[in-house]
Amino acid sequence: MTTQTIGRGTAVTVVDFDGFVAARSPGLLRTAYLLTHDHALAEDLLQTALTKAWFAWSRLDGNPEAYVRRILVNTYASWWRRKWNGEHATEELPESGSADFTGASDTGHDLWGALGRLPRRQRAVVVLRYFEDLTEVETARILGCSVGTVKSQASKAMAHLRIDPALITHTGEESR
Amino acid sequence: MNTQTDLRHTLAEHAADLDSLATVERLGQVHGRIRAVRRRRRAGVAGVAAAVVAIAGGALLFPHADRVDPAADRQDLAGHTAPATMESLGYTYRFVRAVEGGDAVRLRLGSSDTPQLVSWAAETGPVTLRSPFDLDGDGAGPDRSDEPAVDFSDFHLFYPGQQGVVSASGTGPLALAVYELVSPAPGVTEQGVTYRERSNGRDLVDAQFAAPGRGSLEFTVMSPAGGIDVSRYCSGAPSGYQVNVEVLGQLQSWGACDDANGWDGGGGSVGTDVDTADAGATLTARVWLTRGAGRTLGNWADAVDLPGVTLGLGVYTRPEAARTVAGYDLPTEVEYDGHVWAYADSSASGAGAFSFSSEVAAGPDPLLTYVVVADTARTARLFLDGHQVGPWLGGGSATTGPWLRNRTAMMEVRVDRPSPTTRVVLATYRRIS
Repeated sequence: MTTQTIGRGTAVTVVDFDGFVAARSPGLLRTAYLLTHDHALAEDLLQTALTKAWFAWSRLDGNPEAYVRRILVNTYASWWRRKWNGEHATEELPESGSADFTGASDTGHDLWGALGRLPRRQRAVVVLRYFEDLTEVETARILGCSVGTVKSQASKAMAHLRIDPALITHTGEESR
Repeated sequence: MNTQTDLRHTLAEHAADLDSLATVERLGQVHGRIRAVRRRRRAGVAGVAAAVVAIAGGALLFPHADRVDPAADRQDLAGHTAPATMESLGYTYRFVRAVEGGDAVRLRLGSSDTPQLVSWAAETGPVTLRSPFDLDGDGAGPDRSDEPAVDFSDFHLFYPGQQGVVSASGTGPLALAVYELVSPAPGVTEQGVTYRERSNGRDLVDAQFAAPGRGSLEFTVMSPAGGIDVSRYCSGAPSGYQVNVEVLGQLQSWGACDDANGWDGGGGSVGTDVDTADAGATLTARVWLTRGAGRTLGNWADAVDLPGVTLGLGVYTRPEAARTVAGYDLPTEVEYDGHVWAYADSSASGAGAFSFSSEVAAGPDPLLTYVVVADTARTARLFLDGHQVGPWLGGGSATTGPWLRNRTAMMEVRVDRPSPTTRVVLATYRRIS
């Protein structure tokens, strides 16, 4: 990262792309992983976002990380369907799921599994709010939606998690 | 879940547990992607003249097609002759380099804008390959694969942008060879993308491309008997755009314009089955780019042109059906890893099953697994010996899964909230090329 002085002492921070990738990509990868729940998809998502950002790099001023994060989250949310081994067509996005009813699930990862069954926009809101610790306003800015939408998506996400079968004991009570 | 604290703790715990790629390697891969996008954009800027050149012979993607000399380029390695060229799905690949060594050899696969084949040989087999990418078809890498063929007769396909170290181990001498794409498969090639004459058990009816940067394409075809299958190709648009396909005035599919690593229009693109009128009827097919991703825009949305966009549409016959199970036609052929696989066997669940299992016994010849969730409103997961492989399976979709060799495994599909009519089909395909 370098700082250049422009005009009459107005300093702007010019971030070198390679330096940014070296410094910030591990953190962004964590966000990508929390969104995708898959190491390979997370790396793919991150590299897709970084590639897109590269073409706008010269137009970015001081805070490229927010820009890259916005690309990353919105690319994830808009991935219509990742093709897996020559998948055939369907227009149904498999966003929702249910618990493992066979009893094979690892109870230590119930909440993680339940997060993976959230619809994409809700999962994105959860990650931005509770992992990135962004405010509702910041989350709305990244997702390109209203604060009200963020609130409703967060509320729906929490409701989904509360009723996820993996998080409910056989007596109907919530478990950890 | 009790509190938001649990949520924060779970997210932080899993984020900390991430096995990350080395930054320098990631940086190399990102720059490889950037070069690929820039190359496509330059091709777009070249405009109609470049497109004409590409139509004439796929020259943009296949610059070395006239320099293949099979006799001159053969290499004797590890007791076998690496052929000068290899064929995969009709495409021709040329030998470019190899490494030879003792009981273990390593080969750094460089970044490429086009696909590459890696083949191997050993004086005394077998060979174990290791790759940073998926080898067994479970959708995840890094991976290893035990290979019985050790005479450069087999290969794995690596996609554009994939780079890293591929290694082989066994009883030496061993060799690994890399082949690069030099000429397209028979079919329609333009702007570096090919719609093959035959793809996934389908025959090409017609394929066309919009002029580089143009966001709309429309043409008519004569319907073959049995309907058509449409494969769109779209690359070069950022998020916020979506590509739509319409046949006979009806919107058939829509999605992101993200075929970024594409060179094969019919194979990698999402197809759409279209039931049409009688054979010989004239059908109008349209593909166009619109602003606004993630929505069903319908045919009222205006097409937008965008520099750097490549837009194509291939119209194929419907795949030949080997068998119809649960109302779904299992194709005679599918493609994976640059190979063609032919239908071998299948079984179907009863209606409304939460879970359906089938044992797969694979001998020395590999068997590719294939799953159909015959209910458009349901999703499912595939498990192999109790371990989930791949992502969620979409309702109404058919998906190839892992391939198996010298192994017996239990395939299981678990359906998410099945309806009383939901059925699942498990099939296997044997490799034929």
